[in-house]
Formats: sequence, C-alpha cells, structure tokens
Amino acid sequence: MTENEKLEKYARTGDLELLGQVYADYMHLVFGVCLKYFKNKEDAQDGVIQVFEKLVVDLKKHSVTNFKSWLYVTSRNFCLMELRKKNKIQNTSLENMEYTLPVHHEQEEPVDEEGLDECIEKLPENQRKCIRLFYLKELCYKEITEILDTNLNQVKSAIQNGKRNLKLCLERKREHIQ
Amino acid sequence: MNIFNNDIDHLSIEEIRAYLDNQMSNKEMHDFERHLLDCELCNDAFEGYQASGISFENETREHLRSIVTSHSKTKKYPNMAIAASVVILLCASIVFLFSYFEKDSTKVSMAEKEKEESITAPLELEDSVESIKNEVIEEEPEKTQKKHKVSKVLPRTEPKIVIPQKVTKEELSDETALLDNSDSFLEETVNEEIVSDDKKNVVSFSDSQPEKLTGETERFEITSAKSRIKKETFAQRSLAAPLSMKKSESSLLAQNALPVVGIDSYKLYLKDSLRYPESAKRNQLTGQVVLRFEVKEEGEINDLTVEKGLSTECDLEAKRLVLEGSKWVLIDKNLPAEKNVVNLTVEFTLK
Repeated sequence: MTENEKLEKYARTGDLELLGQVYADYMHLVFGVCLKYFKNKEDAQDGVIQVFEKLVVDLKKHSVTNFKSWLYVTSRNFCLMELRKKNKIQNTSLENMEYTLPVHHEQEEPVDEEGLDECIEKLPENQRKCIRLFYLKELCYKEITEILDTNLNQVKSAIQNGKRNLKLCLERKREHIQ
Repeated sequence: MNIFNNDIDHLSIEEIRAYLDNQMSNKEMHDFERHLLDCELCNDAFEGYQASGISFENETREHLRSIVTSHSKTKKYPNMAIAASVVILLCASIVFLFSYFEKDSTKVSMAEKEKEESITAPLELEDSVESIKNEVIEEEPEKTQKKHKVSKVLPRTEPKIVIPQKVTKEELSDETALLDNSDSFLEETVNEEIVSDDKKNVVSFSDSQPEKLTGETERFEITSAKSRIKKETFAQRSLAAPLSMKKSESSLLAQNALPVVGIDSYKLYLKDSLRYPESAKRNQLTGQVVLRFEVKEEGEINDLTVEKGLSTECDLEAKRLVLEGSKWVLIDKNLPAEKNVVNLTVEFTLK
C-alpha cells in the first residue's frame, strides 16, 4: 500500500496501525521541527506524540492529498501554539502562524526552458551567479562560497530569493501568454 | 535545468546526520541542499537539528515508535466505548422523544384552547408558542444552538417580512398533525420558530438595525450552510447580501466552502500578508478587488477570476493571496458545483 492509500484507508476505517506506520517515517522530521521551536529534547518528544494525536483526529475529517505539507503545517502550528501557551515568546502573534500550504510539486506545470533562461538573465547579479552555480553546475553551498568568496548565509539567501524571483517571473510570463 | 521539481520524498535521519557531520560528498551535499529548498518540513527539521545540536537517538526513536504503535492498540477500546455510548444515547433519546410527545400533545391542545378563547390577545398566543419552544430547547440542546443562531439573525436580515397571524395559526395546527410524523417534526419546529420570531419582530419592531447587518450576515451564512435547514431560503438571502460588507476589511461570500484555517484566521491572513503593490502605493490607489473561484472536492481552488478589478498589480496581488493562502474545504460535497463558488473581496486600503 502506498502512503496515500494507507491514509485513505485510515480515514475510512480508523485503523490507527496504518496511520502509525505512515507517521513512523516522519517522526524524525517532526522531532526536528519541534527542536527548532522548543530547543530541548523532552518538549520535542512530547511534540511528536501530540502532533500524532492531532493527526488521529484531523485525518479522519479531511482527505489529504499531500500528507507532507499537511504534516508540516500541523507541526508548525502546534509548536507556535505551545510557545504562545507557555509564553516563552512574548510576541508570538498570529502573524507567525502558517496559513499557506506549500505548492504541490507534482502539479507543477512544465517549465518552458527559454522562458526560464530569460528570467535568469533578469535576476540581480548575485542571485544569477548563485542560481547558475547551484542548479546548472550542481555545486553545493560550500563550493559556491569558495568560488564567490562569500559566506554560507549569503549564498543560501541568494539562492532562495533567486528561486522565488524565478517563480514569480515564470508565472507572469504564463499569465501573459494566456 | 530542473529548478522546481523535487524527486526525493523526504530526508532520512541518517542523511541529516551525515550532512551535519560533514560526511557527504559535494554532490550529495548539493542534493541535500536542493531538497531543503523545496521542502519546508525537511528544512525546518534540519534547522532544528542544526541549531540545537540535539540528535534523534535510536533510543528516542524506539521510545516514540512504541508509543505511536501502542497508541494504536489501546485506542481500539475507546472506540468500542464510543460505540457503546452512542447506543446508550440512542436509547435514551428514544425514551425522551416518547415522553416528549405525550407532554407536548397536551401542551398544544392547551395552546389551541387558548387561541380559541382569546383571538384578540395575540400576546398570550405568543406566550404559548414560547413555551413550546422552551420545551424543545430543553430536549435538544444541540439543535437549539443552531436554532438560536437562526432566530437571532433572521429578524435582522429581513426585518420587513410581515407574516400574517393566520400563518402562525396554521403552523400551530400543523404541529398537532405532525405529532404522528416524527421525521419532519424537527424541521417543522424550526419553521414555526422562524415564524414566531418574525411575528414578534412585527409586533414589537425589535432591533432592526441596518448598520449591523454586515457582520451578522457573514455569520449567518456559515450557520445556514452548516445547519442545512431551509437551505434554499438561506441561499437566496446570502446572494442578496452586499458584496463588501465591512468598511475596510476583506470579506468572503460562500455558500458551501470554508477556508481550512477558519474565516477569521483567513481574513487576518489576507490583511497581514497583503503586499501593497508599489505602483498602487505611489498613485494612492485604494479600493477592492473582487475575486471569484470554485472550490473543488479536494479543496483546491479552481477557475480563479477577477470579477471587479482595481489595477493589474492589485489584481495579481489579490490572486496571489488566494492562491498561496489556505486550502478550502467543502461543507457538503454532494451539492452541485455552482454552490461551491466563493466570492472574495480583497480590500486595498492605505493608512
């Protein structure tokens, strides 16, 4: 059974063993997300269990096509809620809550290569260089920092921003054609 | 060059460990980094491990695994308990219903008597209706909530409806007839209540405040969709409601769909995440963009169109908000597609 089949069957039958099986593969990731917010092992362990309890309820009510995105939003929101409850962070307002679900990669439209090149050309120099080295030459961050003589965070943010800009640029193009 | 595709499903703990311990080749590191760019779950998890320096030990893993799997065994019994309590509740409600009908038939016949005796005293008649209503409230707490909302809202939305006294009488006598017919009983009770409330409205000209119409209408739509009572009437009314309801707040009109995060959170999201287009800011452009889209069965947004635009940039921004925003969920999946259309107004206001 694939993951989605298991989840679908769980929604129908409520068989927690299936959900447990699916969840087991992701526990280390939920643990990591909890670590990011709680910064200690005990709370993170607790979080893994509590997120599971949430899934037990939620996945019966909603049919989920992209489990991973769902799990991410659920874990993150759980952590933020906990932090707010404990008042560890004074200003955890609703602004930090995640409303968006990540784009479903499998539904992505095929990228037209020419348009992509054009969009890369339009990027600021720094982003353009990093994007090319990363996606075209398939180098890792460390190698790029050496080539460009800069630091890791700058490379990382240049690639992140570049990628976002490319996406926006391609979307505009697509809408233009339509 | 493939920038937006992501082949890896998710990162294993071993990979995360290897990356943090610098035990990967450059190519492996590239693949790892590339996945983090595409996957927020893995990215946040990785950041958690990186920042805290805490690792996911085998011990922890086994501990959690045992809890999650034992969970699945112990939970089977609570399920049985739920099933048992449902059966008990069912029995109890049957007993309740029987005793209720007996009590009620006497009540109604009393009410009818009163009606015959005092045709010129509508207030008393209203009282008796009231007492029947109270009876219902006691018996069915869950239903009452919905009804409360309905009755609270209805007089405000349509304060001008005048229902002649006769109708009330008919309803009342209908009620006696209905006592044999338990299926349609509840629905009819609601009818009767709406009528009685409207009547009250006419008699006492109670609070029909047009300014307050706005907020109420929204709540009312959700209630109507959820309670599924008299769906058609509700639908017509909600269509008649104005598109933009509050002065400077985005609004949405939907009969059968809700954002997964809830209406309030969604509005907050629209407000907080709006990036005011530079050109509009420069030109001091304010106003509304009305979008229209259909929610598909899986909650995806389909057919997003601009009903009323403001400027190209603003339209795009409004569309972006909706597309990047929460998923939606259909309240009733069996309704025809045209019911799943959402009208959403995004406000562009400058401070």
